[in-house]
Amino acid sequence: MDLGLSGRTALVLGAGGGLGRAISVALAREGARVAAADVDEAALRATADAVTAAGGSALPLLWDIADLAVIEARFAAVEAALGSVAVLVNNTGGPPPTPASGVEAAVWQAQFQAMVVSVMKITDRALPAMRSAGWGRVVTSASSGVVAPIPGLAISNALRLALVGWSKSLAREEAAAGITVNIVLPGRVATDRIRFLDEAKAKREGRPVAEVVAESTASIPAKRYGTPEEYGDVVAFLASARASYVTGSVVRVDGGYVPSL
Amino acid sequence: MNTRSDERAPVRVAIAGLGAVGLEVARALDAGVPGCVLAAVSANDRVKAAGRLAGLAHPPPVVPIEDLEALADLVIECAPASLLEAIVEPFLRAGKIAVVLSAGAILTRPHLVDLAKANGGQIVVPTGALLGLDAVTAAAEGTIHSVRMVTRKPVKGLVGAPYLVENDIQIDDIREPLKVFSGTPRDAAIGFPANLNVAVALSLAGIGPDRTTLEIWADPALTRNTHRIEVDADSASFSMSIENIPSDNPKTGRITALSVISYLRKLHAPLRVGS
Repeated sequence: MDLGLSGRTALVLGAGGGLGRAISVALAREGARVAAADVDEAALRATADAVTAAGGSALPLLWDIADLAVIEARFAAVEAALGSVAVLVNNTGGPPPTPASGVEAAVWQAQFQAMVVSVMKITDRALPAMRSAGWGRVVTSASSGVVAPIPGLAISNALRLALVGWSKSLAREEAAAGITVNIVLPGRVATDRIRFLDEAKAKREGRPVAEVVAESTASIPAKRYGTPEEYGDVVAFLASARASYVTGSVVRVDGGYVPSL
Repeated sequence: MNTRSDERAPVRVAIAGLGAVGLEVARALDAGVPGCVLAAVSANDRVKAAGRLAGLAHPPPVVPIEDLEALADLVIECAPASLLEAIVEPFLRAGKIAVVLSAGAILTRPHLVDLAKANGGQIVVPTGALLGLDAVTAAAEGTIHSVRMVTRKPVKGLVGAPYLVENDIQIDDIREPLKVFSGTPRDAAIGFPANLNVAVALSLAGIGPDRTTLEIWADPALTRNTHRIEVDADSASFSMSIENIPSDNPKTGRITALSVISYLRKLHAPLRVGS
């Protein structure tokens, strides 16, 4: 199946993380021109190398997305080198694990800026060119915690849910312009982030990490963590020409983990 | 109240190589050089380059070398000499300008000049770490009898040069100035590829790389590269000397980047001083 992504420009946020890297590689494999953004230079280099190894070439962008003042300059660089952004993948780093109570106001505000407002304003910057082209894809990566809140990840559970409401609203506004807007929910995908969360849980509960991992995989109907590639492929499909009638959806990539409908 | 110069499209500048010179020029362009915009950068480590540029007001895209030409009207080559052709050929083929810092490498690649000629492009060798190239080119319109250059360098600016390695010349622990080379810029360009772009620029301005004479001294007392040049011509006899303050890269003088910036500033300047 030709995904119709060849020659289209894709901007991937959080491209240095495990999911962002897999998304970047999947899009590059389909012929998209990938701009890869991350705040971590070493992680961004690993992604640029992975895209090169896959036969592509990523435009590297050192980008702290919490800093709204640099959005215009970063888009200008992407547009100069690769043309207008047709595919925007809003993938953001995860917040620190916390309970729901007792989190400082400053932490809530900083995380809201970094995870939510940043995504909204970056998408706002991308939309006019998509409307002019009559074609656009906005894929926002959230977390299974928005449908089944994950204990100990209250900031993620709360703030990523805000993006689900925003995404659905945007999907209805932009559908007639040929722009689809969807949410993808990773379950437990084997990335450094999941390893970090497993280690944090093991430490918190005074148990071996292997035991936490075994318990976690046992709770997943597929009996294993997902691979980043499995996640990247779903994002690439939603970004594709083939997925043109899918909008306003929330798609789970979780091995059957979330038990609800 | 537009004037003609206001209506002229700015020159889109690409920088190939983001070492001491490239970064300085990028910062100057970001701060504003009238008539020029920084359009794109290329570098060996593109991610590191993007990081070094992230603090600019308008960080340009960091793209592969082969993508530069489509994005710019002029390229500044300040990269390892081995990349000279890959950087400048697309610009010359498109009839554009290539500002070349690796002037030494032009000697072994005369076809680049032919390429520029065939397509209406131009190779510009900026005055760089030298001085008075305008006087030398003026004298060359008449008859130059001789051009002699004596370069004195701090030891650390010469360590590792192929000529010294191949001839087993030890300079690490010298106590007094040591003459390490006497010959022509053509020979020096091969034996001291990172250092001797200035001598080649001088020879290209004057009487060529085979008639210009050159001495290179390693001097443990020096912290600055020092060049003394003596020209004897039918129009004038003159001598010049310059002491260069090293940049972050001890093999590159700070004035090299400034020379490129001044060239860019002259492109659209209403008053242009020096030929």
